Amino acid sequence: MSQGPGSRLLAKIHHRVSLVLTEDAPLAEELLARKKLSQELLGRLSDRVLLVRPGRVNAVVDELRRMGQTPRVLGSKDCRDDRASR
Amino acid sequence: MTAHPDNGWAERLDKTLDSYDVVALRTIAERLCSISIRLPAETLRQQIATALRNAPLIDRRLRELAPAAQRLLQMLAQYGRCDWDLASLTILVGVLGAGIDVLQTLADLGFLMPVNEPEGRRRHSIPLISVTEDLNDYSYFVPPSVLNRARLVPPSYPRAEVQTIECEPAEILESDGWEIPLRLAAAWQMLLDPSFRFKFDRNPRSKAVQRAKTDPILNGPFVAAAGEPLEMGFLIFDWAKASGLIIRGPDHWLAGPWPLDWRLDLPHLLASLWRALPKLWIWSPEPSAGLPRSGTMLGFRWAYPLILSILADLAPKSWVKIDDLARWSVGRFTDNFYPVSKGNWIENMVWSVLFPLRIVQAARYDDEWIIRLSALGRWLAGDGPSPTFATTVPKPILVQPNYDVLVLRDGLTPSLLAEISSIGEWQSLGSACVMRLTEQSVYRGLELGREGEQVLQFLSRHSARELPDNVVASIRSWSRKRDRILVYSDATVVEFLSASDTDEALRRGLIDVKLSDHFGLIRDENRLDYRQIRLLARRNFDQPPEPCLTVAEDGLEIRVDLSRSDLMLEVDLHQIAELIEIKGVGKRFRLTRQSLQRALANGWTHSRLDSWFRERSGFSLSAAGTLLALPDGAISLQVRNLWVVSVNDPWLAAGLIQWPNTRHLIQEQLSPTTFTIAAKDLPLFQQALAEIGQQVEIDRPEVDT
Repeated sequence: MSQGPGSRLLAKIHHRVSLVLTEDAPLAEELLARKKLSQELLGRLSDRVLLVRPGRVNAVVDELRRMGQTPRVLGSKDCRDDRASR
Repeated sequence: MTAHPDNGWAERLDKTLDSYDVVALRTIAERLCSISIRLPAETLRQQIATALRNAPLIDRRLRELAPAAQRLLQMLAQYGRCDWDLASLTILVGVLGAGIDVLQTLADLGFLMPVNEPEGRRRHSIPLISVTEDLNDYSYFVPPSVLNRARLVPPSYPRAEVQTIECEPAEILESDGWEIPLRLAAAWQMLLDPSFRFKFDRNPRSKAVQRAKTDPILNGPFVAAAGEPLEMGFLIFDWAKASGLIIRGPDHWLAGPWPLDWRLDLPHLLASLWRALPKLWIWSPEPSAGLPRSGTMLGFRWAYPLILSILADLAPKSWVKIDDLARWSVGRFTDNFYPVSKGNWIENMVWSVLFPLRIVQAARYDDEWIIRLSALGRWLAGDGPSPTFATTVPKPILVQPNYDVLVLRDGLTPSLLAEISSIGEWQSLGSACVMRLTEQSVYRGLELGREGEQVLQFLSRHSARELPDNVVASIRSWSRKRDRILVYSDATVVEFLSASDTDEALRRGLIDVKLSDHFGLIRDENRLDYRQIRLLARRNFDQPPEPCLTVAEDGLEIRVDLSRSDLMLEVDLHQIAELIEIKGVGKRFRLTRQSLQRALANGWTHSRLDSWFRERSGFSLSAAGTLLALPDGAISLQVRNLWVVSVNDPWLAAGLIQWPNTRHLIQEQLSPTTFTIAAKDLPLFQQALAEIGQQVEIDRPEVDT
């Protein structure tokens, strides 16, 4: 689709997206297999990318931690992670 | 301490003057500035604001005040806090043997101003309140400029009549000042645990109350063994709230960012904690039978400046018995403001606040406890230089192979305490405190904005010995584990029309992460270089889906309107259809039997497919789509050999259907002018019509049986 090295790329932008990016596809499968977690997810954008229902990021993070996972949370919506930083 | 810090009160002074009506302004202008002519309100405000910054004028007015009023201001200045609830001020003037008119006098001078006005109307008078009133409705402040001058007015009020003791005790006990900060850090750490939902409620069975009462770290003994503190668990949580270390969340309290005072040295941190005490709400130095105190009428907020002033009046080397202070306090308070006056609140305040905060020293004399201000206490009272508590251990941390970390108090600083509390879990707070590094504690530290290597560097920098290899390996492993799952709460996703475009975007640095062949992620939307993008559309992820598909006439081909499509469309379409083509700004998909059967096998239902199409295109799943979505053997078809009879008029068809001679031969009416008859019945049909003089024209098709 690009016309040349300096050309502009046709694109559409999606703002305020909540998603989970896993290290590999089997880990994404493992997360999807967890019923409580899958209820908070909209679906799979790719084999490693899971879309989170709007407004449910905190629930997803809580459930991941209950599973024993230690997710890195990135972004400004989660006030719990921002509020205690120095 | 020297000049009283402003902390924004000068600005508040101007705002408060704005809220005064002209009557109040005239009163203040007359008393403060001796202005008796009637001036406009704005002029009066300016005159008063200027006068309240005029040191010689303030000094004159201070000297004209009654001794009790002077003493009150000096106590507040000595304590170092501008704002007080009205009940505390009332009690203090009561202790000084004066009445509420003292406060009125100060208000009329502009030396006492309301912090908030509950009814929203302008006023300046001090209301009379009863002990059941809500204290928060009535708060007042003294302008810092007035407090700064009040400290310099020679004292005219007689000192408290308490017996002093001149002696040189063999052993003088003084806390190292770390008891309260360590416990505050431990309380802060507890609130990092999302399962510990702390609320300041009065339910004795609540988890928070039970934990406050029984937690061994919060309620553990002090290193310098002296008297027994009271309800330290409640005090610490209350103090953490009062000092801003914990903050209010949506439904419970949370660990907040470390206040700036935790970056100062220990004396200044202790001073800041001392000044936060009037904001305590549930703790009280009166014994409470195990329950947190309600926000009772007083909370003993007035007691802190009072105690400090009494102790500051003593000669530096003089002592006073705690019991003598208690006896002095009995009878000082009227029934209107303090129903129970046993005096033992002083002892509780000494052992719970003054001693652990290193404000007083303690010693034994004649089997009784005696106290006096420490160097820190003298400094807080404005009677001595700022003490320096030099750290004697430059590297106070010792990390052990069992993941325990020994922390020597002699090497602590407030910022070090804050940092280490962020990555470990306190186990005990003795002269050598013990903390443990766990996967969860390190993970919490990483979530607070640190990287694994930063944690290791921090520990190495402050550690007397090299870090154990297993601890280093574990921290690195825990740090790596955290990167196995990334949760983006507010990312920007860019959708490209081809895989090559996505790769090109990654190569140019337009996107940070390639999510799939057509999607890339940008961590910071502000970094997106729009000059390299030709924008098709933009959309918020949390917008509800809207119709963005058109289905072709064949009922199977789907065209996507990219300007209205959302991310989930892509996810769903790949589950139910096959991508045919991306051309220009359009995408085409096609429903096939394979794609639909695959979708049904993966959890889609017919009903869901139908509602999805209605949502996305405005119409139900097409008939062709419905047909392809049917399972094997779902339909049965019948092929019959029939003649179709067509007539010119509906009445003729109706007549043939009604006439008994032909009615039984007709199979099915297809339309008002056509019907079918079985092939075997054609001759009978012809014969019946011949009997009424009619002929049948037969169009003989090629019938392939």
